[in-house]
Amino acid sequence: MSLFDSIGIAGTGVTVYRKWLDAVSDNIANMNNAAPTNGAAFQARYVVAQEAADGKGAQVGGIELGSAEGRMVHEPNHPNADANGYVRYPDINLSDQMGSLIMAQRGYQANLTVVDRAKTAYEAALQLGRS
Amino acid sequence: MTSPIEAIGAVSGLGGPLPIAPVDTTLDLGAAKPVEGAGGDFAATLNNSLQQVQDMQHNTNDMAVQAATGNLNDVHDYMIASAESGIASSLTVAVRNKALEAFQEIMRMQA
Repeated sequence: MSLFDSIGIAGTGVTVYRKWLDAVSDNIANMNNAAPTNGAAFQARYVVAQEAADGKGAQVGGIELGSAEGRMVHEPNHPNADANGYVRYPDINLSDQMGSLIMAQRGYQANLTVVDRAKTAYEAALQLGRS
Repeated sequence: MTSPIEAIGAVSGLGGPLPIAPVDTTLDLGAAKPVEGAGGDFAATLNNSLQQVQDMQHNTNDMAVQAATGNLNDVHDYMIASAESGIASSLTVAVRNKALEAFQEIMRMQA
């Protein structure tokens, strides 16, 4: 990281986006968990990205959790339903998650492209004075 | 040390805190002043650089072991480490070739 900074910096970006992808996949996987109304619904995971502590690149500062209340859905036949026939679904919107998924994937690819281009540039610099 | 080989000391400038740092070093060279690089003499600079390259390769090897044993968290970490150590090796070879070239040039002066 010391000699080829841009590669290392882009690497931190890739890590951040990888964690965002993980969070989105977690959200989508748990999207239809029906919890009993006396418990908490699955809370959506939101990645908090911020500048790296050493000023080189980005890092994940933490994970914020969405609403534990979720939304109440009337499903009397569900085994988890309460006396009134309600269950608690997570407050996750698939469209939002798909949008986040696309952004996370594009960000991941963009950072990998930076790594690739930086490598090409450094290799070009090594050609200086050849021949 | 005012020999032309000093220019290779600019290699240490690459380790600066910002990507812009090497450019400053180059500007210093353009002003025809002796570079006050870290370490000062060429041998120390070379030694430092070799140490860094070795550290990088060590890091890459560790990650290769992690990948093989299933302990690797991020695939890209290994690829990036491998790319970095690859370029670092190329840089070492380039510096070594240049130094050798300079030495042979000097040897040719006896004729």
